[in-house]
Amino acid sequence: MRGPSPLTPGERELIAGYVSGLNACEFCHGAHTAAAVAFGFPEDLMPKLLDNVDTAPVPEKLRPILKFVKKLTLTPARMVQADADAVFAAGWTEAALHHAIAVAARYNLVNRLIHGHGIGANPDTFRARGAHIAGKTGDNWKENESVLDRQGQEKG
Amino acid sequence: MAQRPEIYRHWHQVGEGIMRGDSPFTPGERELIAGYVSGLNACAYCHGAHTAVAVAFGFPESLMPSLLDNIDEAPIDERMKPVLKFVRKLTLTPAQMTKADAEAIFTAGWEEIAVHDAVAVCCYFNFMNRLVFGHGIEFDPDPDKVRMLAERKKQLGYANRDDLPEDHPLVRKVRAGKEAISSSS
Repeated sequence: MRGPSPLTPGERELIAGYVSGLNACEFCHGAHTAAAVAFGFPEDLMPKLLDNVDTAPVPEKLRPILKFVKKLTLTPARMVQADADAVFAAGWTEAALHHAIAVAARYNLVNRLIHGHGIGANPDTFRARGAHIAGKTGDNWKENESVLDRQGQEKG
Repeated sequence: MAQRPEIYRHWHQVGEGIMRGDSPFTPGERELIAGYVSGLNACAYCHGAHTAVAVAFGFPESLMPSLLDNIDEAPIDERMKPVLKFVRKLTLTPAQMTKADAEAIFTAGWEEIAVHDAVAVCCYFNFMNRLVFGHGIEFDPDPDKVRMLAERKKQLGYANRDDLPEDHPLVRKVRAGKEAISSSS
Protein backbone atom coordinates (compact mmCIF):
# COMPACT_ATOMS: atom_id res chain seq x y z
CA MET A 1 0.00 0.00 0.00
CA ARG A 2 2.94 2.35 0.55
CA GLY A 3 5.92 0.86 -1.27
CA PRO A 4 7.17 2.40 -4.52
CA SER A 5 4.43 1.90 -7.11
CA PRO A 6 3.02 3.40 -10.32
CA LEU A 7 -0.16 3.88 -8.23
CA THR A 8 -0.12 6.64 -5.62
CA PRO A 9 -0.94 5.70 -2.00
CA GLY A 10 -4.25 7.57 -2.48
CA GLU A 11 -5.11 5.55 -5.60
CA ARG A 12 -4.30 2.34 -3.72
CA GLU A 13 -6.52 3.44 -0.83
CA LEU A 14 -9.31 4.18 -3.33
CA ILE A 15 -8.98 0.63 -4.74
CA ALA A 16 -8.93 -0.77 -1.18
CA GLY A 17 -12.10 1.12 -0.21
CA TYR A 18 -13.82 0.21 -3.48
CA VAL A 19 -13.03 -3.53 -3.29
CA SER A 20 -14.14 -3.55 0.36
CA GLY A 21 -17.39 -1.82 -0.62
CA LEU A 22 -18.03 -4.46 -3.30
CA ASN A 23 -17.51 -7.11 -0.62
CA ALA A 24 -19.82 -5.19 1.73
CA CYS A 25 -17.08 -5.07 4.35
CA GLU A 26 -18.15 -2.02 6.34
CA PHE A 27 -15.00 -1.88 8.45
CA CYS A 28 -12.44 -1.84 5.61
CA HIS A 29 -14.72 0.11 3.30
CA GLY A 30 -15.18 2.88 5.85
CA ALA A 31 -11.55 3.09 6.94
CA HIS A 32 -9.95 2.96 3.48
CA THR A 33 -12.50 5.24 1.84
CA ALA A 34 -11.67 7.78 4.56
CA ALA A 35 -7.97 7.27 3.83
CA ALA A 36 -8.58 7.91 0.11
CA VAL A 37 -10.45 11.09 1.07
CA ALA A 38 -7.55 12.10 3.33
CA PHE A 39 -5.28 11.70 0.28
CA GLY A 40 -7.51 14.11 -1.65
CA PHE A 41 -10.30 12.18 -3.38
CA PRO A 42 -13.72 13.85 -2.96
CA GLU A 43 -16.08 12.37 -0.35
CA ASP A 44 -18.91 11.78 -2.79
CA LEU A 45 -16.76 9.75 -5.20
CA MET A 46 -16.99 6.34 -3.50
CA PRO A 47 -20.81 6.06 -3.45
CA LYS A 48 -20.84 7.02 -7.13
CA LEU A 49 -18.18 4.43 -7.95
CA LEU A 50 -20.14 1.72 -6.19
CA ASP A 51 -23.29 2.85 -7.97
CA ASN A 52 -21.76 2.84 -11.44
CA VAL A 53 -18.07 2.60 -12.20
CA ASP A 54 -18.72 3.58 -15.84
CA THR A 55 -20.19 7.00 -15.01
CA ALA A 56 -18.53 7.97 -11.69
CA PRO A 57 -16.49 11.21 -11.88
CA VAL A 58 -13.12 9.48 -11.51
CA PRO A 59 -10.02 10.34 -13.57
CA GLU A 60 -10.47 8.43 -16.88
CA LYS A 61 -7.11 6.79 -16.49
CA LEU A 62 -8.23 5.09 -13.26
CA ARG A 63 -11.52 3.73 -14.63
CA PRO A 64 -10.18 0.56 -16.35
CA ILE A 65 -8.21 -0.28 -13.20
CA LEU A 66 -11.34 0.03 -11.07
CA LYS A 67 -13.30 -2.11 -13.53
CA PHE A 68 -10.50 -4.68 -13.45
CA VAL A 69 -10.49 -4.97 -9.65
CA LYS A 70 -14.31 -5.08 -9.57
CA LYS A 71 -14.36 -8.12 -11.85
CA LEU A 72 -11.42 -9.73 -10.03
CA THR A 73 -13.32 -9.34 -6.76
CA LEU A 74 -16.80 -10.45 -7.82
CA THR A 75 -16.23 -12.94 -10.66
CA PRO A 76 -12.52 -13.81 -10.60
CA ALA A 77 -12.82 -16.83 -12.90
CA ARG A 78 -14.12 -14.62 -15.71
CA MET A 79 -11.01 -12.48 -16.11
CA VAL A 80 -9.78 -12.28 -19.72
CA GLN A 81 -6.84 -10.68 -21.49
CA ALA A 82 -9.11 -7.83 -22.63
CA ASP A 83 -9.50 -6.71 -18.99
CA ALA A 84 -5.73 -6.26 -18.73
CA ASP A 85 -5.49 -4.73 -22.22
CA ALA A 86 -7.98 -2.01 -21.21
CA VAL A 87 -5.63 -1.07 -18.35
CA PHE A 88 -2.63 -0.94 -20.71
CA ALA A 89 -4.63 1.05 -23.30
CA ALA A 90 -5.21 3.73 -20.63
CA GLY A 91 -1.44 4.17 -20.46
CA TRP A 92 -0.54 2.05 -17.44
CA THR A 93 2.50 -0.21 -17.32
CA GLU A 94 2.49 -3.90 -16.50
CA ALA A 95 3.88 -2.99 -13.07
CA ALA A 96 0.79 -0.86 -12.42
CA LEU A 97 -1.44 -3.84 -13.13
CA HIS A 98 0.66 -6.03 -10.80
CA HIS A 99 0.17 -3.48 -8.04
CA ALA A 100 -3.58 -3.14 -8.66
CA ILE A 101 -3.95 -6.93 -8.53
CA ALA A 102 -1.94 -7.04 -5.29
CA VAL A 103 -4.19 -4.42 -3.65
CA ALA A 104 -7.39 -6.13 -4.84
CA ALA A 105 -6.18 -9.55 -3.69
CA ARG A 106 -5.09 -8.11 -0.34
CA TYR A 107 -8.52 -6.64 0.39
CA ASN A 108 -10.27 -9.82 -0.68
CA LEU A 109 -8.12 -11.42 2.01
CA VAL A 110 -8.59 -8.75 4.67
CA ASN A 111 -12.37 -8.37 4.05
CA ARG A 112 -12.77 -12.09 4.70
CA LEU A 113 -10.69 -11.86 7.88
CA ILE A 114 -13.12 -9.19 9.08
CA HIS A 115 -16.26 -11.08 8.03
CA GLY A 116 -14.89 -14.40 9.29
CA HIS A 117 -14.21 -12.96 12.74
CA GLY A 118 -17.41 -10.89 12.79
CA ILE A 119 -15.56 -7.61 13.41
CA GLY A 120 -18.04 -4.71 13.40
CA ALA A 121 -17.49 -1.13 12.29
CA ASN A 122 -17.78 2.16 14.13
CA PRO A 123 -18.43 4.90 11.55
CA ASP A 124 -17.45 7.60 14.10
CA THR A 125 -13.85 6.45 13.94
CA PHE A 126 -13.50 6.24 10.17
CA ARG A 127 -12.33 9.81 9.63
CA ALA A 128 -9.66 9.54 12.33
CA ARG A 129 -8.61 6.09 11.14
CA GLY A 130 -8.46 7.27 7.55
CA ALA A 131 -6.25 10.20 8.50
CA HIS A 132 -3.96 7.87 10.45
CA ILE A 133 -3.77 5.42 7.57
CA ALA A 134 -3.08 8.24 5.12
CA GLY A 135 -0.40 9.60 7.44
CA LYS A 136 1.51 6.34 7.35
CA THR A 137 3.66 7.20 4.41
CA GLY A 138 7.27 6.48 3.57
CA ASP A 139 9.72 7.70 6.18
CA ASN A 140 7.30 8.28 9.04
CA TRP A 141 5.68 4.82 8.78
CA LYS A 142 7.42 3.50 11.90
CA GLU A 143 6.73 6.65 13.86
CA ASN A 144 3.02 6.53 13.05
CA GLU A 145 2.95 2.82 13.74
CA SER A 146 4.21 3.46 17.27
CA VAL A 147 1.66 6.26 17.74
CA LEU A 148 -1.10 3.83 16.77
CA ASP A 149 0.37 1.19 19.11
CA ARG A 150 0.35 3.70 21.96
CA GLN A 151 -3.24 4.65 21.24
CA GLY A 152 -4.15 0.98 21.15
CA GLN A 153 -2.56 0.48 24.56
CA GLU A 154 -4.30 3.55 25.97
CA LYS A 155 -7.63 2.22 24.76
CA GLY A 156 -6.64 -1.06 26.39
CA MET B 1 5.65 -13.21 -7.01
CA ALA B 2 9.34 -13.62 -7.74
CA GLN B 3 9.00 -10.73 -10.19
CA ARG B 4 7.73 -8.36 -7.49
CA PRO B 5 9.90 -8.93 -4.40
CA GLU B 6 9.04 -5.38 -3.28
CA ILE B 7 5.48 -6.61 -2.67
CA TYR B 8 5.74 -10.31 -1.90
CA ARG B 9 9.10 -10.63 -0.13
CA HIS B 10 7.54 -11.89 3.10
CA TRP B 11 4.61 -13.73 1.58
CA HIS B 12 6.23 -17.17 1.66
CA GLN B 13 6.61 -16.89 5.42
CA VAL B 14 2.93 -15.96 5.72
CA GLY B 15 2.08 -19.07 3.70
CA GLU B 16 4.36 -21.27 5.77
CA GLY B 17 2.80 -19.97 9.00
CA ILE B 18 -0.78 -20.42 7.82
CA MET B 19 -0.35 -23.77 6.08
CA ARG B 20 2.32 -25.47 8.20
CA GLY B 21 2.46 -23.65 11.54
CA ASP B 22 0.94 -25.02 14.76
CA SER B 23 -2.81 -25.51 14.30
CA PRO B 24 -5.67 -27.78 15.35
CA PHE B 25 -5.84 -28.67 11.63
CA THR B 26 -3.25 -31.01 10.16
CA PRO B 27 -1.29 -29.72 7.14
CA GLY B 28 -3.35 -32.19 5.06
CA GLU B 29 -6.64 -30.73 6.33
CA ARG B 30 -5.39 -27.22 5.53
CA GLU B 31 -4.42 -28.33 2.02
CA LEU B 32 -7.92 -29.81 1.67
CA ILE B 33 -9.46 -26.46 2.64
CA ALA B 34 -7.08 -24.72 0.19
CA GLY B 35 -8.05 -27.01 -2.69
CA TYR B 36 -11.74 -26.72 -1.78
CA VAL B 37 -11.79 -22.89 -1.60
CA SER B 38 -9.88 -22.74 -4.89
CA GLY B 39 -12.38 -25.12 -6.47
CA LEU B 40 -15.26 -22.87 -5.36
CA ASN B 41 -13.48 -19.95 -7.02
CA ALA B 42 -12.94 -22.13 -10.12
CA CYS B 43 -9.20 -21.47 -9.88
CA ALA B 44 -7.88 -24.49 -11.80
CA TYR B 45 -4.28 -23.74 -10.87
CA CYS B 46 -4.63 -23.60 -7.06
CA HIS B 47 -7.43 -26.16 -7.04
CA GLY B 48 -5.38 -28.70 -8.98
CA ALA B 49 -2.17 -28.07 -7.09
CA HIS B 50 -3.55 -28.05 -3.53
CA THR B 51 -6.00 -30.92 -4.04
CA ALA B 52 -2.94 -32.94 -5.11
CA VAL B 53 -1.09 -31.90 -1.94
CA ALA B 54 -4.12 -32.98 0.14
CA VAL B 55 -3.99 -36.34 -1.70
CA ALA B 56 -0.23 -36.55 -1.00
CA PHE B 57 -1.12 -36.12 2.70
CA GLY B 58 -3.49 -39.11 2.47
CA PHE B 59 -6.96 -37.89 1.45
CA PRO B 60 -8.57 -40.04 -1.29
CA GLU B 61 -8.58 -38.61 -4.81
CA SER B 62 -12.36 -38.97 -5.08
CA LEU B 63 -13.01 -36.79 -2.03
CA MET B 64 -12.62 -33.31 -3.57
CA PRO B 65 -15.23 -33.75 -6.35
CA SER B 66 -17.75 -35.07 -3.83
CA LEU B 67 -17.03 -32.16 -1.47
CA LEU B 68 -17.61 -29.64 -4.25
CA ASP B 69 -20.78 -31.48 -5.17
CA ASN B 70 -22.26 -31.73 -1.67
CA ILE B 71 -20.44 -31.36 1.66
CA ASP B 72 -23.21 -33.13 3.60
CA GLU B 73 -22.94 -36.33 1.58
CA ALA B 74 -19.17 -36.30 1.07
CA PRO B 75 -17.25 -39.17 2.74
CA ILE B 76 -15.28 -37.08 5.23
CA ASP B 77 -14.95 -36.88 9.01
CA GLU B 78 -18.14 -35.21 10.31
CA ARG B 79 -16.00 -32.72 12.26
CA MET B 80 -14.66 -31.22 9.02
CA LYS B 81 -18.10 -30.56 7.53
CA PRO B 82 -18.99 -27.36 9.44
CA VAL B 83 -15.44 -26.10 8.80
CA LEU B 84 -15.84 -26.60 5.05
CA LYS B 85 -19.31 -25.03 5.11
CA PHE B 86 -17.86 -22.02 6.92
CA VAL B 87 -15.10 -21.45 4.36
CA ARG B 88 -17.57 -22.01 1.53
CA LYS B 89 -19.78 -19.20 2.78
CA LEU B 90 -16.80 -16.94 3.57
CA THR B 91 -15.54 -17.45 0.01
CA LEU B 92 -18.80 -17.04 -1.90
CA THR B 93 -20.89 -14.67 0.24
CA PRO B 94 -18.54 -13.15 2.85
CA ALA B 95 -20.95 -10.44 3.98
CA GLN B 96 -23.55 -13.04 5.02
CA MET B 97 -21.45 -14.68 7.75
CA THR B 98 -23.24 -15.01 11.09
CA LYS B 99 -22.34 -16.20 14.57
CA ALA B 100 -24.18 -19.45 13.84
CA ASP B 101 -21.59 -20.35 11.19
CA ALA B 102 -18.86 -20.26 13.85
CA GLU B 103 -21.08 -21.96 16.46
CA ALA B 104 -21.49 -24.96 14.17
CA ILE B 105 -17.69 -25.39 14.23
CA PHE B 106 -17.58 -25.22 18.04
CA THR B 107 -20.47 -27.70 18.29
CA ALA B 108 -18.43 -30.15 16.20
CA GLY B 109 -15.82 -30.04 18.98
CA TRP B 110 -13.27 -27.57 17.66
CA GLU B 111 -11.75 -24.86 19.85
CA GLU B 112 -11.85 -21.17 18.96
CA ILE B 113 -8.39 -21.18 17.39
CA ALA B 114 -9.71 -23.58 14.74
CA VAL B 115 -12.05 -20.86 13.42
CA HIS B 116 -9.09 -18.46 13.27
CA ASP B 117 -7.02 -20.96 11.34
CA ALA B 118 -9.84 -21.91 8.92
CA VAL B 119 -10.45 -18.20 8.25
CA ALA B 120 -6.72 -17.69 7.62
CA VAL B 121 -6.48 -20.52 5.08
CA CYS B 122 -9.68 -19.36 3.38
CA CYS B 123 -8.43 -15.76 3.17
CA TYR B 124 -5.01 -16.84 1.94
CA PHE B 125 -6.54 -18.74 -0.99
CA ASN B 126 -9.06 -16.06 -1.85
CA PHE B 127 -5.95 -13.90 -2.21
CA MET B 128 -3.91 -16.46 -4.17
CA ASN B 129 -6.81 -17.36 -6.50
CA ARG B 130 -7.15 -13.69 -7.45
CA LEU B 131 -3.42 -13.32 -8.06
CA VAL B 132 -3.63 -16.30 -10.41
CA PHE B 133 -6.72 -14.99 -12.22
CA GLY B 134 -5.44 -11.42 -12.31
CA HIS B 135 -2.25 -12.52 -14.01
CA GLY B 136 -3.91 -15.17 -16.19
CA ILE B 137 -1.61 -17.94 -14.91
CA GLU B 138 -2.51 -21.29 -16.48
CA PHE B 139 -2.45 -24.72 -14.89
CA ASP B 140 -0.44 -27.57 -16.41
CA PRO B 141 -2.62 -30.62 -15.64
CA ASP B 142 0.07 -33.24 -16.52
CA PRO B 143 -0.60 -35.75 -13.69
CA ASP B 144 3.06 -36.75 -13.20
CA LYS B 145 4.10 -33.12 -12.88
CA VAL B 146 1.20 -32.33 -10.54
CA ARG B 147 2.13 -35.29 -8.31
CA MET B 148 5.80 -34.33 -8.25
CA LEU B 149 5.03 -30.71 -7.34
CA ALA B 150 2.54 -31.85 -4.68
CA GLU B 151 5.18 -34.10 -3.13
CA ARG B 152 7.60 -31.14 -3.05
CA LYS B 153 4.97 -28.94 -1.41
CA LYS B 154 4.26 -31.68 1.14
CA GLN B 155 7.92 -32.00 2.07
CA LEU B 156 9.20 -28.45 1.62
CA GLY B 157 6.16 -26.41 2.57
CA TYR B 158 5.86 -22.78 1.57
CA ALA B 159 9.17 -21.28 2.55
CA ASN B 160 11.26 -19.47 -0.01
CA ARG B 161 14.80 -19.36 1.31
CA ASP B 162 16.03 -16.76 -1.15
CA ASP B 163 15.32 -13.85 1.20
CA LEU B 164 16.33 -15.54 4.43
CA PRO B 165 19.65 -16.03 6.22
CA GLU B 166 21.25 -19.48 5.91
CA ASP B 167 20.64 -20.35 9.57
CA HIS B 168 16.91 -19.44 9.52
CA PRO B 169 14.70 -22.36 10.68
CA LEU B 170 12.72 -22.27 7.42
CA VAL B 171 15.92 -22.47 5.38
CA ARG B 172 17.09 -25.46 7.43
CA LYS B 173 13.69 -27.10 6.90
CA VAL B 174 13.78 -26.58 3.14
CA ARG B 175 17.34 -27.93 2.97
CA ALA B 176 16.38 -31.02 4.98
CA GLY B 177 13.32 -31.54 2.74
CA LYS B 178 15.40 -31.33 -0.42
CA GLU B 179 17.88 -33.82 0.97
CA ALA B 180 15.01 -36.19 1.86
CA ILE B 181 13.61 -35.95 -1.68
CA SER B 182 16.98 -36.52 -3.36
CA SER B 183 17.83 -39.49 -1.14
CA SER B 184 14.43 -41.15 -1.77
CA SER B 185 14.63 -40.85 -5.57
